[in-house]
Amino acid sequence: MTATAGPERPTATEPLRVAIIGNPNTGKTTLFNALTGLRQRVGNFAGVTVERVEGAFRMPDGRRVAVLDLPGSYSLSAGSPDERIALEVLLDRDGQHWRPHVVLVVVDACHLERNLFLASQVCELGLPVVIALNQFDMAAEQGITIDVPELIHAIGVPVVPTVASRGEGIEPLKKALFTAAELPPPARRFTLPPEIEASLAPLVTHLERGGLARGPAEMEALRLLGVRRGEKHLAHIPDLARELDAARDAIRAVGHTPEREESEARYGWIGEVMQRTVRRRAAGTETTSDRVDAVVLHRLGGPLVFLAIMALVFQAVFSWAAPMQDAIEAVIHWLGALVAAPLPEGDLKSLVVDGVFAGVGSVLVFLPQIAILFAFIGVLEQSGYMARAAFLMDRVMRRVGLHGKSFIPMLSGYACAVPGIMATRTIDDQQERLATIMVVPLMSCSARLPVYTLLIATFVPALPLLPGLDLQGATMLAMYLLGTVAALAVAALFRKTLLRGPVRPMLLELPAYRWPSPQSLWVSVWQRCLLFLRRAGTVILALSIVLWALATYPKTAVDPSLPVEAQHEQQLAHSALGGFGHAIEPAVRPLGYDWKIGVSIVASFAAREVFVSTMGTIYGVGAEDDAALQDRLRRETRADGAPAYTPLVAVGLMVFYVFALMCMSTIAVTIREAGGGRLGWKWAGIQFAYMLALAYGAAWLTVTAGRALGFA
Amino acid sequence: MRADTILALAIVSAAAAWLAWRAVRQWRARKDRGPDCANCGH
Repeated sequence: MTATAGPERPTATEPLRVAIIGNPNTGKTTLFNALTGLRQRVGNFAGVTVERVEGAFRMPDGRRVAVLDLPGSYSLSAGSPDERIALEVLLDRDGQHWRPHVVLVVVDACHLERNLFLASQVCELGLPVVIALNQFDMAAEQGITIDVPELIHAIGVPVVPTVASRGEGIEPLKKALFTAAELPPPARRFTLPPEIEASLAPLVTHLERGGLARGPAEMEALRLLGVRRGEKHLAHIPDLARELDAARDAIRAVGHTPEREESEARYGWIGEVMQRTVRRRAAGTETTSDRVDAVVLHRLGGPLVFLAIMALVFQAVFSWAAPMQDAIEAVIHWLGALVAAPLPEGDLKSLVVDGVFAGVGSVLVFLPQIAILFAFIGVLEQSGYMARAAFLMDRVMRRVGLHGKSFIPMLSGYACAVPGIMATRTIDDQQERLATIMVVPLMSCSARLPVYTLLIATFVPALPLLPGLDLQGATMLAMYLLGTVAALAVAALFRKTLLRGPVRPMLLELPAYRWPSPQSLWVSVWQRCLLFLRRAGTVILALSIVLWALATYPKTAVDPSLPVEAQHEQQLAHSALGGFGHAIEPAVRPLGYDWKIGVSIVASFAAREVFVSTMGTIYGVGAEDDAALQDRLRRETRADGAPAYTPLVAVGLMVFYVFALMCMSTIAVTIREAGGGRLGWKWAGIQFAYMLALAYGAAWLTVTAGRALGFA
Repeated sequence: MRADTILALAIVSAAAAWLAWRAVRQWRARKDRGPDCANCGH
């Protein structure tokens, strides 16, 4: 089925297909979550890495609805991959045969004028449309009054006021989707000057011959006037470029500018709609957002607030997680004992206890930390503070030669470098984009969290520093700041050497502050936790089993006169893992590490948190009792009786992890995003090499300087 | 060789084979979907 056939109705057996589209920052995803709850499936649009999220819900009478969340778009005209995908899905040209029965356009009631541009384009696609007038409460708070019945009359589609974050208006919206499916699709509401209509007519006819219905053909004809590149979804129409040139010439001949026709005509109509439907309180009235911004965006106060918030986040990661962590640890121990009890002494029991439970268990205890970190990130994002953080950072970013837009990918890097690097697609300038890609992995991602937490909790005492902040929280904050400062410094270096170019100013829209939606927050934290658990149950489980085997075989004849712990140590030293560890030990010795840390670092190339599970497995295999990994690390001694791990070695190790690129997924995504092929490999190679050199150098410097200052 | 050692080795072989299969699958899929990542689900 294609756009030729006009709107489609769902059959008795199929669900109503609803595509959600809207400008970024309209609360589109919150609305999607409010509609579908946890019934979501995340994937990718065919052939590209833009995320495709599909969800579903049921009406009380049993009717089913499938909902597709389209990428955030300002219009259907621009050339970004996101906007192209949205248009292709709406016209059923994306090859997935998911033609929506209804399009739900999410509009920000606070920025109606700009949002109506996209809404009006969608209304011309020949599909039934419903508009969700979201953040209706915020608009009221800002003194904006919208006459909804008049707006319905002006646009010609159902309009439902919603406050997605509080679930308000969701039920009427669900009903409106079914009502709209029965209504005739809307059409263009504005007229063009007759001479323009006449110039466009041959192009519209040509598009109709190419398979488009009347409405979409008219919309496409107008849209194409301002588009300069080839359009994939229209590539099947022969001689389109020639017809388009002819239309542009004809428009120029009657004294108009083809590139401006669409936006002028559309904004003209939008201006009329705004006059008829929107009333604003007198200018000069200060809103709550303005009052908060006076502090949060203050030249001096702003950065202090930013630092205070970050300190709170990292302190909470420690303090709040501790009781939950203890509980998880107890459950894992109990479960391990329960599973191991019926097994006879031997390799299978060792595999279960020392491989699976020691390896996977040592990573699983960090689940509360992950949940707390992502809950905070969610609150900061949804409240509108992240946009302020980007604004605050813009000054710094420009000073290092990066565009303010680069800060969003860098912030994403705190969660994971892979989406961070993919988010650089919003940066138009190739040099700026490459510089950002090169530094995103320096932002401490959540996979480093288990490594930092294990080392800090083991070796850094919880000395109180400030009210609500102790040395553990401050150390964690310092690691995150170190990564961020290094990212900015390295970016500046790249912009002055390999990736030179001018810096352009940034336009950033600051959304009004709003209370985060508990449901949306819960959904995002839950999804992160599920991913973490899935990871622990698959990759980390398999790696722990393989590492157990490497630490256990080949078996060696141990001296039975030695104490049991020494016998274990002898076996471990002669295992395959021990052999490999001793071979690489000279490389890590200058950093103060023994072969066990060396092996754990190498294993963590698969994923950083594998460092923790490898330590868990190594000490599980080599230990007599079942004390927690932290106690074993504190007790571990060298041949000369000195402690193997000191606070200085731990700090050096954390510094190593701040800088080292220990992630296969990041390397793969850099290869692709930096241009693929030889070019991609070149940049990925540069990235890996400079980060490894930086990690090794900084860790060596930390340990050497520490020793010179008299630390152990 | 004891039965439990054989079972342990079988589990280890299965884990190693799965890791290898996953690495190959990810490498082949890198152009379409991008690599799977632990933390973001990509």
